[in-house]
Amino acid sequence: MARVVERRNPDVVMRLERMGSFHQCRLSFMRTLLRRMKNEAWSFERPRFDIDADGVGTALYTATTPERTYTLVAFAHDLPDDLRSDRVIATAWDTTFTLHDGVPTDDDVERLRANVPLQEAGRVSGSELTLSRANRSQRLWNSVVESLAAGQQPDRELIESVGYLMRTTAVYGSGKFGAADRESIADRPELLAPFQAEMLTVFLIRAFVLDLVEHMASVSSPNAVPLDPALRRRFGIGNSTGLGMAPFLITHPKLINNWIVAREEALARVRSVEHAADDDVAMFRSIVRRARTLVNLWNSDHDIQVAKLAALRTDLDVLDAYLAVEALDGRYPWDALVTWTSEALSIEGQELVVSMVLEPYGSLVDELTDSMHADESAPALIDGTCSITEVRRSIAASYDWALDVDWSAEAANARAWYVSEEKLEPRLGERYHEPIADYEQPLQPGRDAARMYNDLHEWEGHQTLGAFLREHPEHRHTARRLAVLQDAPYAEVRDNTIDAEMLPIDLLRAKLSFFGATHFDPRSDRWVRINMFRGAPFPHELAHADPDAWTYPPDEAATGSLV
Amino acid sequence: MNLSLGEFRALVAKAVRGAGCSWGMTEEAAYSARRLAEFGFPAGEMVVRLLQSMEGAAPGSLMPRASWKSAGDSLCSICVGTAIADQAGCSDLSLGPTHEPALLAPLLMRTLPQGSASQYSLRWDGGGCDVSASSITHIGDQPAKAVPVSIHRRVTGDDSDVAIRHTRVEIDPAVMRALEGFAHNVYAPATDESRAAGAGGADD
Repeated sequence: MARVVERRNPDVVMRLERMGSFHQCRLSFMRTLLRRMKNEAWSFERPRFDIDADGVGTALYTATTPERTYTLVAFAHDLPDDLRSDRVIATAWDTTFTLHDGVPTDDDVERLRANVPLQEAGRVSGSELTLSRANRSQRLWNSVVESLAAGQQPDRELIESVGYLMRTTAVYGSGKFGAADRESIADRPELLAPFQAEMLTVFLIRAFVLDLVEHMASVSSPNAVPLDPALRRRFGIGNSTGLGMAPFLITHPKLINNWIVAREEALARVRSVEHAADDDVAMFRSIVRRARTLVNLWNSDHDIQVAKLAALRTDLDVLDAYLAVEALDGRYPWDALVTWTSEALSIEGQELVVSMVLEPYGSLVDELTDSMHADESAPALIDGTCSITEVRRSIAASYDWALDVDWSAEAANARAWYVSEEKLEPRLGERYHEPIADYEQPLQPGRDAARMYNDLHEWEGHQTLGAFLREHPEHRHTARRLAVLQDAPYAEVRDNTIDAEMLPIDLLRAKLSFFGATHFDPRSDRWVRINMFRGAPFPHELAHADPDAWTYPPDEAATGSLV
Repeated sequence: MNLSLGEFRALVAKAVRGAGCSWGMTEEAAYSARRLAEFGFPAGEMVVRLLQSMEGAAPGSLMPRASWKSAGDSLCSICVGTAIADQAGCSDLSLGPTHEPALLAPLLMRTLPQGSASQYSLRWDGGGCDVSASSITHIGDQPAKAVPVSIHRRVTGDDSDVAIRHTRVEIDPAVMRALEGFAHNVYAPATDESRAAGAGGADD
């Protein structure tokens, strides 16, 4: 269709405050996976479930596509409470997992048993696609097991307040710890979209966790009952994500561009719809009602998120008032709505509306998921023949915001990203209070672009970038980012990533929203808990379920009439 | 040890950065080593020798000048390769003594569009390699020290991809230790302060 509304400007979209307010949408990777599984009629089996009365053992879950089979290999452990930790420095977990490429032999399972429970200290092979682990939410786990064992359904309010029985603390893929490289599997249609192996892993982990909790109840009492199917769906898989994920958005500029372009293109297409069909308007109104339920179930104790949620609840009241008088029957109703939000709602509310207006338009936007991957196997080529004049112009165009920053000010330079010797994980330190500046990672593109711009002053306009880089190889990584930005306007976060006030959780949320996460609950300025697949059909239900209808809870969810 | 290509590339990147190279050069070197490993070259050994040869070299002395000779005694193959790639390739060239010239090959390869009928031949005393848009094949021995290199570009007529691609890297423990030794320099020593604040995690 012809687009009459343009994509939003990168200067508006690529700001940390806005990226830290993104919500899941039709293009999110969990939803891409579920649609594909449904459309291709994948089949699922549980060929092995050897878990003893202490909850220790092995289980296998297979997902079979039209072409091949993937198997979640799950190991359940008896973890003492004092060893349960979400920190990346943990060394033991309640459960550990890998996604095996194919159906594992008994020898494979034993090989994996010797390695997967060790996580980072173990090794998997090119036949494995991911490595993961999860810990119980002890409070909810015990309560659910006890209720089911007593023949009763667990407390609904408690389930809604926590949202998951286990939370993963890492889902590694892409060649980590010996697993298969992304390049070696990216030609498979089902794994072409980003993070599909990781999403499949979590989808199957969720099935295992619910089976496990019912198993633990059944072995403790002959009167145990299984979970009611509707209540069962209210459990997602939690995830605890720390700083380790934050640099990803800066180190994968082409990929991030493709994610954002897809979302912005989707929004522009919907805003370009001249007349909304009655069914589409009705669906949107339903989504808005269900979004209120979602927001009501979204808990956080963190000051920042508490304030954002309060604003979001007000936003929903304001939106209701708008929808009470606007029938959405004029020309370009979605464009009018989105334009109105930019003045009327908080950024959190604006971005929720962006996600919601896409919901009725799957036929218009879902195909965009085919363009969300990127081949970043080779560093972008640099055109060394380009003149210094052109380079200056290019920096001024893409990094104008950075050229306006006073980089000599302590606050603008307050932080430094580094990798610690202790755990080899990215960390964020205080440059002026810790001995870390010499170890700084290249995760402050704005400052580095300003530095390059400054050094270019001493060069003549007709000289070439190639000559400049031979004299100044320290600017080569910035020259490469400029090359990427030529065709990728959304590749760069247009904010200072080392500012004293910068919030790493904004970077985390942007990425996690593209995964399809909900219920963002920051635990500090640098780590966040989320929920994944909450409300989604389980593998055995997918054939008879709508793969897209689950991300907003049913209208009744907050009132207790769901069960 | 058996590594994924991604792990190998990440290890090389840390090692190259740990040896003092710029971030941008580090990306080129890691890419080059990974590609060579994919075509069966002992890329880990090459990187270790290259980094060892750089130790003590004056900054910029391994970078090519206008005549494709170095300001010092020898050239770094990654520096030469990036300089050629930055100008979208080259015709015939004679390079001064160059460390680990095979590491040039993947950077030259990138200047050949897919399906290109052009090919580069790199030759040095006792060996060389041929580079097409889709494969790198080696001839003879890898030199143990810096050697003069000739680069010849020619039109071959087709780009049939016959090279075997490796998906894993079997790395010798001594090479691994040497790379890790360089890589160690990129890690900030842990302090109580960073432990408490840096990662920012907590449990409940």
